Amino acid sequence: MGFSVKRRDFLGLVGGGAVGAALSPAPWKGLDDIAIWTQNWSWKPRLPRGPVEVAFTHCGLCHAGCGLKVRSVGGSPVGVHGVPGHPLSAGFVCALGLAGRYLSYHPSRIVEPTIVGADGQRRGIPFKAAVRQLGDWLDDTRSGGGHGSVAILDNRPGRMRSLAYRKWLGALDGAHIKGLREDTPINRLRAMLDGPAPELGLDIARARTVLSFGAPVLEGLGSGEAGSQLRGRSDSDKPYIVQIETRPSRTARGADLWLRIAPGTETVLALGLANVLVSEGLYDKEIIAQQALDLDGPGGYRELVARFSPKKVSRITGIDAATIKKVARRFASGPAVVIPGVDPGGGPLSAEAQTAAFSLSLLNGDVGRPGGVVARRASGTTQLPREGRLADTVELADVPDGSIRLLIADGVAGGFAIPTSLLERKLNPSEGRVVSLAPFERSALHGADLVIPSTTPFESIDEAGVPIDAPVDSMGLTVPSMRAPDYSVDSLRVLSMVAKSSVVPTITELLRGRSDRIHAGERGSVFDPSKGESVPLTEFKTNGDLWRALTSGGLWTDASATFSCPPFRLMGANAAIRDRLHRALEQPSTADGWAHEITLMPFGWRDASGDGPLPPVMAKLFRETRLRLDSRFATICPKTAGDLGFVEGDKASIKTSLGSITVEVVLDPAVVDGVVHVAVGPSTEAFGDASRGKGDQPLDLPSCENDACWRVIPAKMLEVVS
Amino acid sequence: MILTRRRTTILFFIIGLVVAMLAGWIAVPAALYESIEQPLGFSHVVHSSDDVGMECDDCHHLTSEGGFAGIPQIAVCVDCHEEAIGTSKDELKLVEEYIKPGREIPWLVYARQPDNAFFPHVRHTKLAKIPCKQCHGDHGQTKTLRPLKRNRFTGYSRDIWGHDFSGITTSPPWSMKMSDCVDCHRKRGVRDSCLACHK
Repeated sequence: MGFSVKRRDFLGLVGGGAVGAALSPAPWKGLDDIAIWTQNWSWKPRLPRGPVEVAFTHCGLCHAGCGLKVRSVGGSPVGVHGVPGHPLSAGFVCALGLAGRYLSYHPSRIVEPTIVGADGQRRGIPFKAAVRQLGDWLDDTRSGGGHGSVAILDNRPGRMRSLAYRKWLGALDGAHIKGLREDTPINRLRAMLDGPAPELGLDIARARTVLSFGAPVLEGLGSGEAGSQLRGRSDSDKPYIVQIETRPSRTARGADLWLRIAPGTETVLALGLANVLVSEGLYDKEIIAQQALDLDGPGGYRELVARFSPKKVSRITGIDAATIKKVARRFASGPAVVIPGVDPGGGPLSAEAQTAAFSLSLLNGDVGRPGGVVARRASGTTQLPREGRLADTVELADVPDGSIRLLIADGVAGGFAIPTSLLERKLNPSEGRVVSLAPFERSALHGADLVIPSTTPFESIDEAGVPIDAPVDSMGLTVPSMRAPDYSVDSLRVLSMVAKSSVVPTITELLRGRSDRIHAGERGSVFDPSKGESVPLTEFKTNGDLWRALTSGGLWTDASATFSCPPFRLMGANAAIRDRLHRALEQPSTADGWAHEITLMPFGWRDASGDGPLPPVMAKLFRETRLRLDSRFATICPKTAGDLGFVEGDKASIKTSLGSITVEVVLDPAVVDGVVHVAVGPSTEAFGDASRGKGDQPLDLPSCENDACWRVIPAKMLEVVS
Repeated sequence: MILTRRRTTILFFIIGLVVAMLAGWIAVPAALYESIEQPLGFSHVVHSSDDVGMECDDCHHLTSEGGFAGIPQIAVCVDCHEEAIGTSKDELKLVEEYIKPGREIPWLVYARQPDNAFFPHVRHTKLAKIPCKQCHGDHGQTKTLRPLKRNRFTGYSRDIWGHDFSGITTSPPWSMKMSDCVDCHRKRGVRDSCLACHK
C-alpha cells in the first residue's frame, strides 16, 4: 500500500499552518510593523539628529517682540516656549509665535527670485539677474523721476535697518514709507504737540481707565501679555476698560463696558465725550490754560465740541446720552489711556478720529503722566556707523497719489494688511513698479513685478520691536535659531548690491553700533533670560559683554524718563484734519454714488497673521474648529440677514464698485444691524497661504478714497446662484 | 482505512502547525531583525568600578532644562581618554578615530523612540520615580555593548517592541511600545490623551 497525499491532507497542512501562525506572534507583529512602515516612507522628511540645545531669542513675527526659549535638536528648533520674567512679554507667546518656526517650511515660501515678463507671466530668474534688473529699474527711475519716485515700504519703521533704508534713500532723494503698525496713531498725537516730541508709549498697566477705539486690548495688544495680565488682575486693581467697537470682538465681550458704535462714527463719539469734559469742567484746567493753543477763539476746540451734545451724538452713534456722560466722567476720574486702535485687517481709524480721540488725552492732562502717555528716550537709534543724509519718513496715507515709480517692499512681517487699491493709487499709473523683498507672497503685493525672497524671522538677526504699551525703550534681538536657505537674502544685502552712490552697512554692523552706543549711555538694565533676572547695564564692563548678552537672547531696557507735556493743539496742526473735524456731523456721502445696502467692515485677527501666511498647524486647527473664521465667512446679525433673505450657511456675494468676494453667511446676534464683518488674512483651506489670487480678499474691495481709511466699506450683499 | 486516512490528515495538520509555529517564533524574529554592531566596544562595569569611580549621571544626566543628555558627547570621553589608556583595540580606535579628529562616536541607541513621541525623562525619573532599568534593563552592569537589533521594516530598535517576541513582558526591561505607555499612564492615573505624548 503506497503513501499518497490527498487534497484533504493538503488542507490539513494549511489549516495546521494557519493555526500555528495564529499561535505565534508573527502575524500580529507583522501588522504592527506594516502600520509603522507605511508611516515612515523613505522620502518623507525626517527631523535631524544631534545635540539638544536651548537658546533664547525674541520673536520677530510682529512688533511685540516676545521673549522666546527655543529648544533645538541637531540645529533645528523643535519647541518654542515663553520666557518667564521677561520685562516685555512676561512669559507670554501667542499661538502664531509658538508655531512661527513652521513658516520656514511653508508651502507658499518663495524659493527663487521671480519676475513678471512682458507676457504677464511670472517666471523664475537667477539671483544676479534679479539684482541687475532692480539696478536697471533704479537707474530708469532716477533719470526720469522726482522726489519720492523711489520708495521703500517699511513694515516696522524705527529699527536700525530702517535707518539704513533712509540713508540709502537719502542718496536717491527717495521716500521712506511707514507701513501700518500698532502705534501708528501715536504719531498723530506727536503731530498735535508743538515742537519736537520724543517717542511715546502708553502706560496701560497704571491707567485707571482705558478708552479703546477698537484696539484688541484683551487679545494681544502691545506686548501681548498685557491682555492676559489685565484679565488676571482683580477688579479693584485693573483699569476700567471701555471698548468702542462695532464688531463683537473678544475684547468687546470681555471689556467692562462695550459701546456698540455705529460704523464710522468714532469721531463724533470722541467729540461728544470732549463736549461733556469741557461743559462740565472735568478737564485738566491748569494744563489746558498753560499749553493748549487752540481751545478758545473762533473755530477753536471749545466751539467745535459745543456742537457735539450727548443727545446729538447719541442719535448718530447709537450710544445713549447717559452712557456718553458716564464714560466721560469715568475717564476724567484719573489717569487714562486712549487707544485709537489699528486693526490688522481693518486698518487705522480716520485721521480726524485719531485726532479727536487723542484730544481727550490732552484734555485730561494724561500726556506725560504715569498711567497715561509716557515718553521714551531715544537710545542709540539716531546714528549710523557711517554718516549720511537720511530720507524723510512719511505715512503711506500722506504719499501723493501716482508719485511712486519704484516701490521696494521690505520683507519683515508686520501683521497688518493694506488694501491692494491703496498701494496701486500711490504708484505711477504707467511706470509704477513694485519689488517685494518678502519671503512669502503677501496679499497686497500679489502682483509684484519682481520678487527677491528674503529670510524668515527665525533665520536672521534683526531687532525685535518695542510694543506700544512699553513705557521705556528697549533692545532685543531676533537671534537666528535655524539656518537661512541659500535662496534667501537679507534686504540690506540686496540694496548694497544695487547701491550706486552710498555704502549700505550690514545689519550686524548696525545692531552692534546701537549696542555700543547703549553701552556708552550707561542707562537701564539687561535681562538675562537664562537666569530670569535683570542686572544694571553698568555691570557690563565692555561693549562686547553687552553685545554677547544681546546675542544670547538678552533684553536691554532703558531707565524711565520724565516728560513734561509741551504746548499742543487739540485739533492738530493739519488744516485738512481740522476742517474734517468741523464737518464731522455731516452725513458721509457714499463713494462715487454707489448705492449700497450694507456696510462691510473687514477685520484681522491679532494673533493669526493679518498679512503673512499662517503656519499649517494653525490653519488646520482653525479650519477644523472655526476658532478664527477666515475670509470665506461673513458674520452678520440675524435681523440683517433676514432682511436680505439669507440664512446661516448660505453662500453670498459681497460686492463693491471694485469687485466682489464670495462668502458663507454666519449669523451672530451681537453684530450691529446693517453691518457684515469679514476677516482679512490667509486662507485656512490652503495651508494658511496668504497669497490667494487677486479679487479673493475683502481688501480687494475698498477704494480707499477717504484718507487711506477702509474700515467702513459701502457694499451690496447678493445671493450666489449655484 | 478511514482511520488511517484521518490519521494522515491529522499528521499533516500537526506538521503545518509545528512548522508555522517554529517560523513564527524563531525564523521570523531572526529574519526580521538585523544585528548591527556598535562602533566601539564599551564596558559599563569598568567605568562604574571602584577603580574608575564614575557615577551613572556623569554621562547620562538631566540637563538644567529638564532634558535628558542621553549619550555623552566625545568631550566627556576626552577628559580621561585624551591619550590612550592601555592598548586595547577599542581604546586605540577611540583615540585615533574619534578623539583626535574631534568626531562624535555614532553610537546606536537601543531605546530610540520615533520622532513623533515626546518623552520627558525628567518626569518619569523624578516625578514618577521609575528606575532607569525598568526600561533600559541593567545596562550599567554590562561588560560590553550588545549589537543593536534593528527591525528591517520599521527601523525601530527591538528594545521598543521588547525582547520577548510575543510582546508580553513580565519583568524589566519592559517594552516601550505606545500600548505600554498608555497602560502605565492609566495604571498610575496620569493623563493618557494623544497630545500627552504626541505634541
